[in-house]
Amino acid sequence: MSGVINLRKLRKAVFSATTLRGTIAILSLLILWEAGRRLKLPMLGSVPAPSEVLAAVDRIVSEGTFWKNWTASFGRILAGFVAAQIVGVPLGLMMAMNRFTHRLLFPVLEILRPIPPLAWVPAAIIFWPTTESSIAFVIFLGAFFTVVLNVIGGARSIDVRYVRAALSLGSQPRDLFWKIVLPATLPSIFTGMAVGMGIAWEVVVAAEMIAGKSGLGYFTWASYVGGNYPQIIIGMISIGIAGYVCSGLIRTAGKLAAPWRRLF
Amino acid sequence: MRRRVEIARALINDPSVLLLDEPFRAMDSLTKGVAQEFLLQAYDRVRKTVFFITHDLEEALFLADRVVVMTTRPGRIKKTLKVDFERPRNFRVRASRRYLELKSEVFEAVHEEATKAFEAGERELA
Amino acid sequence: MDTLVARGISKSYGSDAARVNVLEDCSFQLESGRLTVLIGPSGCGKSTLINVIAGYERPDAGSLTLQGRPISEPGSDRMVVFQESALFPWMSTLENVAYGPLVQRRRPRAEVMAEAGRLVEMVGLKDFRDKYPNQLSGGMQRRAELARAMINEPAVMMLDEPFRGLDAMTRELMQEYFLRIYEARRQTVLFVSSEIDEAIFLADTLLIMSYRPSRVIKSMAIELPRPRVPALLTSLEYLRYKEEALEILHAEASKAFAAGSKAATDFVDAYSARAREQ
Repeated sequence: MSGVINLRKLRKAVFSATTLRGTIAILSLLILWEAGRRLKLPMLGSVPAPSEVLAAVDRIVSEGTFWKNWTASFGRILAGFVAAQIVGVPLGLMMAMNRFTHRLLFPVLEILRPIPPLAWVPAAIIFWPTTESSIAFVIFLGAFFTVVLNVIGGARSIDVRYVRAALSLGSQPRDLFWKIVLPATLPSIFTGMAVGMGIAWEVVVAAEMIAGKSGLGYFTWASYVGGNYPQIIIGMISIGIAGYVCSGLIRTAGKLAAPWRRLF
Repeated sequence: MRRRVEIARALINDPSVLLLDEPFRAMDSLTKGVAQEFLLQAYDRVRKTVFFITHDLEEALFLADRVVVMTTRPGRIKKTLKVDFERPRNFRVRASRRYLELKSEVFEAVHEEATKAFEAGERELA
Repeated sequence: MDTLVARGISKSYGSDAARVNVLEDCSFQLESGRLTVLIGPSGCGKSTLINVIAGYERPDAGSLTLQGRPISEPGSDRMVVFQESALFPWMSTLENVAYGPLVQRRRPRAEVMAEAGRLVEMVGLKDFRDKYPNQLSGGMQRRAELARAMINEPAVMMLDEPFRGLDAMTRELMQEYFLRIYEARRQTVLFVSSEIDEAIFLADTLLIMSYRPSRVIKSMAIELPRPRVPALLTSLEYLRYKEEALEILHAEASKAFAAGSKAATDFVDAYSARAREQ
């Protein structure tokens, strides 16, 4: 009902002055880039031109191995990210509601959190049996801390008026959790997910460059090592698109899960 | 508290006209009453020309020598009333008959405009 | 018998030098089936008193009994409607209203939902039953909260300046609306207000609170006929009640006001002295 696309509004947005300005800016950039390469300008001239990239795309997309890289990266993201949510969300909620758990675990988290996920890669490789699991582990770490902190923050910032109202109305502790705390914290959970997803993609790309034998990060790095420069650009664009799609999915999921927020 | 400081700050510049735009708007009516008295005390002593804007009818009657009612858009002066309570104004005046009479007179004028504005707003949303 | 009896309630916040005695030796009673209005200057602990009666906070001293039994924890026998909406934003109007009986688990779900539907209709929100609270106007949210509280048939209904912040027109409508509901059900109500007209218009009993440390310093019986109509606001009795209440309230509000900065007052003195010299 409120999600129906208003065609008139959409048309106005697409053909507006702002869009026009944006399009001109991007086109100018591409032209400059192409020109820089053709004219063999210093620095800019060593980057493959848009025309070369497009030609490479044509070739690459039909090869099966390219898409295997996509599935490899996505697979790792899925494993690490989902694990982080499954462990992190309940843990965060428990820590927010239970002082003892909080006092016990928070110091540990605060010590481990500043270590960048990528710094864990060597340790992960030693510790985990397969490369696959070690990369997934590093992704897990990247998303995990973010989600826990967002959940704790969200659960703690629930307006006390709601809790008081719920108590006066006769809520049991389980009602408080399932009907008050959880719905109220949902928006924070999704924020944690969105940020965590961004971190996950950064981590997977770097981890693949260091230790992987497949995936979009590996693809990009191998293209560099192999001297196939247009493919580097393709790799970069692919990673960008993949990350954007994932974030978009989370945002949509968040809107569906918390429809009352949409209506502001 | 802040309001008093702000009023004092305005007076420091020794203006010939003091303009006040709904300064007591957010207060509950009891505190507002006392804040109004503070303003009147300051006014009684220095007798500046004061132009005070409000949507609170009681406030207008308690403070003013003259109450000017504006129409809704486009704005014009609709009505002017003389408020003849003696100064210094005493809070008890709020419970007097004359106060009630003036209040219903102002209310009639304002209510008409408020209704017009309300309906116009509805049409805007439609 | 009186429904609610409060004896010697005291409550303070902070410690040592920063200690604030909000309530001190506050005593009053709420008569069964009557609308009692509590009025006093801001900062006088009216909200603290509500929190204590509702069980959200414990008093430092004093006793509170409801129908003879002592009160301590929050419960559905004492419902509160606050100034700011506490409707659960993630539930629809209907779900909000049905929440109390549902979590109390004393009646079957179908029955509860049916009753909630009836109450939603009674407060005129039938077309909004499936909407979220942020889709309702301020006045509508108030009505929904009233329904959410009333469905639990509390022994005491408390309202803490529920109409504050609404524009004048909506406010008047809400007052009359609330009176119609009260006069039909005759629950025991404690209504907190800082508007003297509103207070007298609604009340059977008017309790006036002093400034800090706060106590109830005056109890006035308002014997205006029910049902209350706006025309009463111009009657002689009404004016006399207002006069009496104003005397006390003005004194207390002045104390509250004067408790603030003296600097500004001193400045005005100095400024006007200079103006006279010129």
